[in-house]
Amino acid sequence: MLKKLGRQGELLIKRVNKKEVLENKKLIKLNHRVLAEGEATGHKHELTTGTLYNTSWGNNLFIELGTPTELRHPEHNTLEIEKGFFEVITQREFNDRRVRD
Amino acid sequence: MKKVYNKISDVIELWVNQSQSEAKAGNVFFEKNIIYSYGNHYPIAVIYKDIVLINNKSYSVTTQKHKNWVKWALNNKFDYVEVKDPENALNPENLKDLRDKIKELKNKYKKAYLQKQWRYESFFEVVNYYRKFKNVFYHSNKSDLIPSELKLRLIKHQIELILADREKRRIEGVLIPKDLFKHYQKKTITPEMILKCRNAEVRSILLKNYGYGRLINQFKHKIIDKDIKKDYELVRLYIPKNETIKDWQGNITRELPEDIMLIKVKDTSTGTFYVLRVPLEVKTCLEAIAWTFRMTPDEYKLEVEA
Repeated sequence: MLKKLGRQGELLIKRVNKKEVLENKKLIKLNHRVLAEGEATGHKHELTTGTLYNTSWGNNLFIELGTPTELRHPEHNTLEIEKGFFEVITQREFNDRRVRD
Repeated sequence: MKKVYNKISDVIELWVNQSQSEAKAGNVFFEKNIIYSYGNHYPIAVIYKDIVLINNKSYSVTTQKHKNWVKWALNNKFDYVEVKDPENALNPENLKDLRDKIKELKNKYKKAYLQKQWRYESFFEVVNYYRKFKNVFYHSNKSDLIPSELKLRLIKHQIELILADREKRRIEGVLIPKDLFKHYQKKTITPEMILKCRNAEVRSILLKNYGYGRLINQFKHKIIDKDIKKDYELVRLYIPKNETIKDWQGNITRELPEDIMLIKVKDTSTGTFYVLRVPLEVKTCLEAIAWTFRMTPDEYKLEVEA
């Protein structure tokens, strides 16, 4: 069970303080639960419950979970996440290129 | 509520998320679920449940640009259908038909309800429905996700060529770009092509085919650090310095190629190897991995990894 920091493939899930985030950023609620989708495979990292927020053009992604939730992906093992507010960090490469799978 | 924005991108994003009922920026504005370019005479797209209908009628260069931005913003969030005759497809009567059709389908699939499957079923039923009126054609980047059963149905509807062409370029489920696939077939992939490839999944497939050992042996290299437990390896490739290329005024037009630092990582779930490029300054595997997540090695303390 992920409490503070965990990873599924190229996604890192990090617990953050919601108040601090809201002080600096305006969050927009999204109407889906897909954290990332592979360009080449089409496989998705998808939450079973919870709410997704982003800031602008998907630069920062946050998730709010009211209950313990599963993050699923066809290739990776399922990641169980405790309830709370988390930031989703996508793996990058040198030249600041995002890792895409 | 703020209604006038400076950036068109902000307005498009608000429309995609349906966070408010109207907003405007430059020549783009939306009212409820319909977004327009320049005026009410040209609706760019309309959101309908989990589908977006996009106007396929060409109008002007700027309008096309607006349309592309909308498509880009929709990526990963909605399936979309391009509609040849927007007046027919976007008018409220046809939308009512669409709504009824979706209701009918929802009831039909209620018993064996699987959210994803229903989504595809409903989407293609709707496409087929509109096909009857010959005013719509399928257009989606996500065609690779369609279950095989539905693929057969698509073939019936004369869209098999798009799929067949793409499917041929799939290796282990990963779609390989056209130019790289040609080299893959001819076995003329070079280490440079692998290193320049931007998609990590595609790169992993090419690397598997080419061989990691063979790749690093093509260059003078040094293994900087190894994590035997996790099977990570940090390698510096020394790229031979070519002569600088100068233009007629004597200015350098191409920079000298830099050395490359690579971290070879193993996915814990799949066991697949990936190589990621990291800055030359990193000294350890842990530092390299932490860097890829914008963290320091001290911060990067995982509880779980899947």
